[in-house]
Amino acid sequence: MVKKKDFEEDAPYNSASVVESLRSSWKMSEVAVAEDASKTYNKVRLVNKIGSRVKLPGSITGELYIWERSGAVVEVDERDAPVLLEKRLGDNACCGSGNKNFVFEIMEV
Amino acid sequence: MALITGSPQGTTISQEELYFDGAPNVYFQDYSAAPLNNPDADGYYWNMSGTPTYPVYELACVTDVSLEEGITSNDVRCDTVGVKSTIQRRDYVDFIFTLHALMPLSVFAKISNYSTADVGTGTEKVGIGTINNNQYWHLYAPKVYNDDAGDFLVVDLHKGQMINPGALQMRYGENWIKTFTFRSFADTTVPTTQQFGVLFRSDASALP
Repeated sequence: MVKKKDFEEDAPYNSASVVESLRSSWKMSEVAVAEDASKTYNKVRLVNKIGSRVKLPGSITGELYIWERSGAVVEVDERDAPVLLEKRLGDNACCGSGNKNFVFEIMEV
Repeated sequence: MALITGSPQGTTISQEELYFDGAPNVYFQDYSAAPLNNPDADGYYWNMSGTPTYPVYELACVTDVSLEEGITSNDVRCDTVGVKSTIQRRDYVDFIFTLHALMPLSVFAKISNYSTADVGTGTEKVGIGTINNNQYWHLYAPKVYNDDAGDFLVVDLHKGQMINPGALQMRYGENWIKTFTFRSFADTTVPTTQQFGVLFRSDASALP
C-alpha cells in the first residue's frame, strides 16, 4: 500500500496541480484543433474566359481545379484565388490593347 | 476639273482623294454571341462584345489581306440578239489573310479547326482530328485611317467558317506563316441586304 508520504515524495505535486496541468494541456490541444480543422475558408467563383479547357492546381491547397470550357465557373478556395487570378495566356499579348489575357475573372453572384 | 471634251452636266458625285494603307485589325468570335450592335439605330448588325463564354479573339500580325466574293453568274442569252443580261447571285464573301503570329495554340486551334485546347500548368495541347462543321464565327476587321480624327472603315462579316487553310510554311530564315480563308455565308437572321456582312465608315469631317 502506498503511503501518502511516499506518494508526495515520489510525485511532488498534489491533485490540484494535476488538474491544472491537464486543463492547460487540454486547452492547448483544444486551440490547436480549432485552428486546423474547424477553420473554414470562403469559396471564390472563378470563370474561365480563354476559350479552352483549363486544368490548374491551387497554389495553397493543391486541389486540382478543372474548367471544362470557356465560361465555366468553378468555386475555388479563397487562398488559391489570388494566384489563379494572375494566370495569363501568353506572355506577349498583342496589339497594344492592354489586354493581358487573364485566364480567369471573379464571377459576381 | 473641266475637260476640253466637256464635263458631264447635271448631278455629279466625285470620289474622294482618300487612300488606305495596310491591313485592318482582325477579330473573330463565336457566331453564337450576339453582335454588339444588334442592330444599331439604322438596323445594321456589327461589332462584337466578348464574354467569358464567347471571348473575342484578336489576331496579332496579318498580311496580304483581301476581301473577295463568290458570285454565280449566268448570261441571259438570246440567240437572236446575243447576251441581254447577266443574272448574278452572291454566294459567299471570302476574307483571306496570312497569319504570322501562331501562338497561343488555344487561338491558333480555333482558326485551324483543331480541337479545343487543354491548358494546364505551363502547357497547352491541341488535337488535330475531326472538324466541327457546326462551328461558325463572326469576323470584325476595323481599319483606322486617320488616328487624329478617329476615322475608320469596318468590315464586318456575320457568319462564316475558316475554310481551305493554306500550308503552315516553315521556311529557312523566315517566320512561320499560314494563310486562312474566312468564308462568310448568308446569315438568315439579318436582313437580306446585309446577310453576308456590313461595311461601315465613320468620318465626321467627310460625311454630312
